[in-house]
Amino acid sequence: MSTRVLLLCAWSGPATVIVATIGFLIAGVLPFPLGPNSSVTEVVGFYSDSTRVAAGLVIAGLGVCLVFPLIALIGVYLVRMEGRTPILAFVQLITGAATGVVLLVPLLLMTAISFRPDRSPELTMTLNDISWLLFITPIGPFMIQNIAIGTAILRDQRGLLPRWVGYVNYWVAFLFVPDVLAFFFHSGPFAWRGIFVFWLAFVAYAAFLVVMGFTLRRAILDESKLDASEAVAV
Amino acid sequence: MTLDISADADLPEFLGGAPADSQRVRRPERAAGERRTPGEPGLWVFILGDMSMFGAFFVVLLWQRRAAPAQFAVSAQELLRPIGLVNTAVLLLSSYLVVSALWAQRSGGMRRATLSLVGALACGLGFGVLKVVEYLHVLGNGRAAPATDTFYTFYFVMTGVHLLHVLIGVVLLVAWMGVLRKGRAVTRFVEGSAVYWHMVDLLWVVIFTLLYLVCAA
Amino acid sequence: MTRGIPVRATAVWTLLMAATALTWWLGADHAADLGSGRTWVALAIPVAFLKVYLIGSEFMEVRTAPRALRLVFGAWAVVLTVALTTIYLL
Repeated sequence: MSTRVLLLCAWSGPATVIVATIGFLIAGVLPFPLGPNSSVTEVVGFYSDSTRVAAGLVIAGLGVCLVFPLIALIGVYLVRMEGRTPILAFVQLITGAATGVVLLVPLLLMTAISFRPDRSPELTMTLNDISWLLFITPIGPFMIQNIAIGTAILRDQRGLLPRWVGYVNYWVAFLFVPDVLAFFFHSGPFAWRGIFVFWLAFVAYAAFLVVMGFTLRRAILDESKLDASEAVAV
Repeated sequence: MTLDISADADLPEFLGGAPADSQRVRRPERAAGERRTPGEPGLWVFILGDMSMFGAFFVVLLWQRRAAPAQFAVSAQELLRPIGLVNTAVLLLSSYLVVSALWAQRSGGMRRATLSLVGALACGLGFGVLKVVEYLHVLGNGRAAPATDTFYTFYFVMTGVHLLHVLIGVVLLVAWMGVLRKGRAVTRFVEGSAVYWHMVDLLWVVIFTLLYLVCAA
Repeated sequence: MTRGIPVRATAVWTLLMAATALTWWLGADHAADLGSGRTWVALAIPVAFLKVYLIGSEFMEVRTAPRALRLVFGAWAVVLTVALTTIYLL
């Protein structure tokens, strides 16, 4: 039972990517998101198909919340790595919790926009700006979380998780850096839907969730093999 | 070692329980002369990954240039090319000093290693100072418009992210000097820091070539 | 008796400085006087990645690393050289 719960939490990493992506595809956020230079017509038109957009965003909103079990599981491993003073484990839990919230709230905002498609276009544009900027720019919690995980793994003498995973976390942290540029550009590769902002962050975060999910699953299975009665390969 | 989180389990270590296990990962012994990965294999996930991120910057930069080559040339020519050249030389020298420090530490010459690192640090900080001087010059020109001029967008973002890398490299070098002060031998961390610094150097070589020379033609 | 920096590394560094001077000359305005300025400037890109490869091979010690790493590092340099030179000349 306990191993099964841990494994489920590991799977919630890839599950976040899958469910959120499905939600985005339904809503129309993927494959071509709105941009800062989208016209009023385009923005209002996007939210006018309100039922579909809202449904998709609700699914995406639930999807991003699947990240919370993974964060908790990472916390379990970091606590074990750190021993007496698991400071990085605590940092990871706090910032991880923040990342979940900071992903969820903008999606709720977008869903709220589609709640009244006949809103004044100016309000729709403003709310859309706020939602997207809120979604893309708060890199702080993410970067600190990644640096905490990477540092904990690399300092771990017992090698509970493979060391390359620590380096991947450092890499992912760097990949988030350009996202703050979204505040400064209305078009181009550094705008909120630009290749170095939206797409890079999307791919980097998805890679992080998948890598953590699968390596934690492997670690859990390897340990539980030693106690055959508990081992359930999920 | 059993993974056991049932209600009766021992407390986690930070609440006073026993450590989960005391297995130490044994690193395989390497025969002398065998090929070895600098630092450790995992490090290269980060190094090559970071280099690829910059690679993507480079490609998009030149791709965007195709839309307005003349405008790019005008903007690029406003950069202080001598500063760019000196910065390239400074970083190449700093890399040389880092290699020198590594070899000194490998043969036990801690003092020589420390001196080399001090030199490399001076180069790194010098690079930063020159960069700031150039930023101030470019911004003071009044013609640099990072938000609307694509060349300047890439100039500030690429050199800015690179400068961030330099700052982190400086921190790593200082930490390395701490290792030297304790008289320790070369570790994964030491080699990794050296590799990271060389990466910062080689990235600048390309940045200089693209921003200061290719775009300005 | 402590060993110093290998002579090889010093030689490589000298070569790198020379290559930097070459790149400078290629990109400077008078290179364009040789006709077809674009070709000369485009040469600066492979020269840059040659320097990159030298730094990786000699300073980062990729040269004595397992073949997989040498291949990947080399591939990164080659792919970018080709891509960037092509895009520039297009």
